[in-house]
Amino acid sequence: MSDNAARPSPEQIMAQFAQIKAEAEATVQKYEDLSAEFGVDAVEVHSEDGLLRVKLDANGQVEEIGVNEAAMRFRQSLGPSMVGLIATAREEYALKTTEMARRMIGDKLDVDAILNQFRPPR
Amino acid sequence: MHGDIQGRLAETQRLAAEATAEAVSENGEVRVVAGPGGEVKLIDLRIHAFELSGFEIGELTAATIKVAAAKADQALAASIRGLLGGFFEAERQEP
Repeated sequence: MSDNAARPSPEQIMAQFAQIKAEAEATVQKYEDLSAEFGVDAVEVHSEDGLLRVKLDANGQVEEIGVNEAAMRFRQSLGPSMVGLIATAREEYALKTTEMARRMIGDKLDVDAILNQFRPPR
Repeated sequence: MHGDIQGRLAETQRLAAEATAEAVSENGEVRVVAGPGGEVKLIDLRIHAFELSGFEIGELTAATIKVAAAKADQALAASIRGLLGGFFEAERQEP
């Protein structure tokens, strides 16, 4: 009897589920809003001479590489230039996602310290 | 026990830092060496790559990067499974 009294009613359980669902939806909405604000799903960088372009997807992976025909002259350096531009794009992506994480979770955790463990050395 | 798991986590981080995978385009124009998480370490354009247009080289390089990065992710995941899977298996078998 006392066990039953301590147990939440089905209505209370449903209310808890509804609250959890609302919180989860609010978190997803906040993530999507911040993602749009910071533009993490559209990181695109250009080389200084404008001949190369790298676009990342929403996960920070290379999606597109644009090579201007004029860049084809630089046979020896084209590959390394692409590698450098991809690294630049990934750094920009990391900066944006770090700032996003900071805005998502506030000052509850040291976001920089955590993410720095996983960043490649400069 | 905790020392052991910390050692394995440190080993996991080392594996992640050192893991690489290579992919070569179908006709050998582009070779890419990538790490896990989309890191690109090397793009090697062979001489016959320059018979292609700039647009084609870009497309082919991006596609080859995706293959190399996926292989690096898979290799790292397998290494981590081997490293930590054995640990949790041992934990389950402890009386």
